[in-house]
Amino acid sequence: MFKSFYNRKIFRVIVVVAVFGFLIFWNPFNFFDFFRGVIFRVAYPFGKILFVSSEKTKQTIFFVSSIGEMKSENEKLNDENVRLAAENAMLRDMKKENDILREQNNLFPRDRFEGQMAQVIGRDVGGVGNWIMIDKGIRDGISDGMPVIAFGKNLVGRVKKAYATSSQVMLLSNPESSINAEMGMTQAKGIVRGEYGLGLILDNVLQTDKIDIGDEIITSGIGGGMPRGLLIGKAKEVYASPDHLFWRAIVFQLIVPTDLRFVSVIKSGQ
Amino acid sequence: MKNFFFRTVSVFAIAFFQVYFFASFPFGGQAVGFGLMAAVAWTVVSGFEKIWVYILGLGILIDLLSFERVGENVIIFIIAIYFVSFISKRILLQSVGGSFLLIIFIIIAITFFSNFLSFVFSFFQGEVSNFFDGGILFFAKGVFWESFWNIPSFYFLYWLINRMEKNISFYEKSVKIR
Repeated sequence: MFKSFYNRKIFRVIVVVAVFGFLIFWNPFNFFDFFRGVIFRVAYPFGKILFVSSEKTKQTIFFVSSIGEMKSENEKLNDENVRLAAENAMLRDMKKENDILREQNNLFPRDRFEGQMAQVIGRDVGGVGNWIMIDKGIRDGISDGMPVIAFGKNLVGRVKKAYATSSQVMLLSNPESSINAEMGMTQAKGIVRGEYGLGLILDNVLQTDKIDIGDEIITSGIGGGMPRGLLIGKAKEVYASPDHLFWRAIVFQLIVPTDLRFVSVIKSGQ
Repeated sequence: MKNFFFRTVSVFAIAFFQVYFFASFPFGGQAVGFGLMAAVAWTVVSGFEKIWVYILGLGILIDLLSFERVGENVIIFIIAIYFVSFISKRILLQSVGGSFLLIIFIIIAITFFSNFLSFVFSFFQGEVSNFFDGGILFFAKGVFWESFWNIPSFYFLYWLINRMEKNISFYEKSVKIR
């Protein structure tokens, strides 16, 4: 059957478009404010609940979608943490080295000696404390017999064998070591010998000479192999030799040679 | 009376969801066209004649709640449902695969149309359009993302409205029999 035009869908669409099109271009904002107010009063409780739900949903979606990112971020941060911890440890070590070097440098008696700073790169494998290795050798002007000091004028030992780029330093506690020494205060003369890497003994002090406990023991310079005035240690215990001909003293070193990281080799000077 | 009540409550619920819930999820700068998809789905389910008044009300409500000029969404919805009602019978007669692709195409076309019409309204009002600020590509990106989310929205709303209308028609029949 034929439908009249007024009953057709297209007519309704045209009317709606015309009416609301007119409303849009006439733009009567204030006209609808009253209705807006009423609608908002009705919508307020529902709108609030829906908005809060949407925010929570958004956060959940964001969290779930970021889990993958967070996982890889976490892995990256863990790797960086490990790397930074290692770097930190290295920097702390470098700082310690730096501080030691600075201290050694400040204490080195430049007015008397020409020296060469060296780093300890090896120790007596047996752990007995007979020798250390340093990273300077013939190429750096080091030769056999040169005295080695640390922290100013503390005698550590002497170069036993110099190689091209490294040297073996015989410590004072080595049983082969023998240094002419004298007491700082009383000037009693004797010989400091090593005791199997365990310690030092001041021997051959004449019975007529005096050894004060706590007195400094320094190199005497006798024999020419060692400059005078280098500190060996302090007298700790005094006793007579078995044959009662000489005084002996246990020497207490102010440095621990086996813990040293940097030393100085005296190349020349008095 | 109860039919009117159910449909009116549905209109309010759809409008509230569009304005208060889906507005928080802008995809490519555009929120999901929940109201538009509801209008399309309802037309497919019930036909133009039965629901055009409710769609009119939905458009007015969304305009009021979203502070837009009253009439913008009304015009968009009414034109969209007119075209959908014109071809919806053909959709029902098609095979499943073909109708699915046709629906996808219709949703994309309606989404494009609604965005374009919004731009036209803004243009003739002397306002700068959000869509064309970033260029044609930005507009296309917005249409793409809105279409992407409109498709599942449509199927969800179609299922929901279909169930509601079936319950209403069952109730109507049971009342008539008595």
